Amino acid sequence: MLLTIAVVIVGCLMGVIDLPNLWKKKEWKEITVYSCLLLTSIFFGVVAVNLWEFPSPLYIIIWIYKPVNQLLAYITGS
Amino acid sequence: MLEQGRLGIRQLCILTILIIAGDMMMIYPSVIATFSGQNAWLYAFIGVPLGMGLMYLFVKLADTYPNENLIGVFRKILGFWPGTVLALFYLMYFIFSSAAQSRVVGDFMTSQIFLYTPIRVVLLIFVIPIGWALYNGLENIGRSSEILVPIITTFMFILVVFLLPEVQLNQLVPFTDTTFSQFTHGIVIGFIYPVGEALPILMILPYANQQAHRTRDLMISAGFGNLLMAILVTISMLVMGLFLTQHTIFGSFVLSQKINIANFFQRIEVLMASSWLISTYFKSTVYLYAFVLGIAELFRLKSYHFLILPCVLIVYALSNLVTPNIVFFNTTVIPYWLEWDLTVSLILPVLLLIIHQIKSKLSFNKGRT
Repeated sequence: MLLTIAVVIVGCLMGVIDLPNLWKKKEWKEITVYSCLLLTSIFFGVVAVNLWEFPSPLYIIIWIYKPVNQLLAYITGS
Repeated sequence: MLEQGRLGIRQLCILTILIIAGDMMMIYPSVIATFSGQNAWLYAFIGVPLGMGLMYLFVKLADTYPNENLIGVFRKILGFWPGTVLALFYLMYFIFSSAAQSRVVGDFMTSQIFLYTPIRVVLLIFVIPIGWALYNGLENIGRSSEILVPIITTFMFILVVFLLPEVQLNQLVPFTDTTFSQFTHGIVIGFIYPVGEALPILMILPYANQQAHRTRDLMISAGFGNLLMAILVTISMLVMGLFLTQHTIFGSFVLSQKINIANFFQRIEVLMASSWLISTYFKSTVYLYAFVLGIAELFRLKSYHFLILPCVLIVYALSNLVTPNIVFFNTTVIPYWLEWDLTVSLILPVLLLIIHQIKSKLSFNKGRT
């Protein structure tokens, strides 16, 4: 719980550092991209520091390249 | 332009060498020996000229539109939406590579040096300087790499020279019973795995000084970096033999434990590890820089400085999540990672160059008629 709170506080601090400048200049696209990145990072950060079970993102790569790998193994006969 | 800083050509070459040396310095001997068997050192040396050719291909791709970085080149060649999709694929490669390299550092530290420290702490200590380097900009990364590169070359030199008493030449005998799979794997790993991962250099190439001999210098530095790795593979095979090279994940760490000159000059493995940490730090930094700059270029933002802090937090989180343990990464992911490297750094650039040639031919014909 303490770790979760710590990550959320760190994320809020990042927002406090960067967002007011963008807000003053009224750069809405920048604010959207920034908040999307910040929310993803806080979510993943909370999952990471608590050591929750989470499937590795590299399974995307394995899913993409598994057919290629099997085809190559079939061609080379190994 | 997004980045106001300017890199000198020497800083660019040094960054290339550091990226090629990167985490390859520890894991390259075991990977190439696992996939290609006894002839691994031969394939590593064959990979040196091939790697220089690959770097020539990279520079060729960047020279199609000299003022654009990688994302801009994609959009110029392929058009807006296909370029965006390809750019997203490359950005995924950058962020996962950055996280995976930090993770290799964490795994190394917690399995060899700090055995009782949680990996989250090691990763936090490693990731904070990356964010600090990005916050200070590209020029400072280049200058600090200039300061730190002598440490790496010095320790490589010490490693090779002081291991010469341990060498047993009969462990280098090539076998002729190589299978086809071992041969292709050896050739491909020999140049894709070190030089192909120098791809994010394309993101900082437009921000370097334009000079006449830039292509030649980049090719020479790619060859030099790959030659260092080939020498490392050879010395590892000479000292430890095939079986131990295949089965020690952090090969050069074990190698430097073997250094013992007259019972006096010994136990320098942590110095060796520190030189490896420096090069991996720069590799991870340049990958994360490529990601941040790529995001800013993809959404056409006015600056990239405000994206650094969340991206650093993402790298920290992903480096924890990217593998549940060291075994998953080394047994399950590495074969797929090789194919990913091959696609990203050889097949797609070649396709892009072909498309660019066809397009320029067509527009030339259209202009003539």
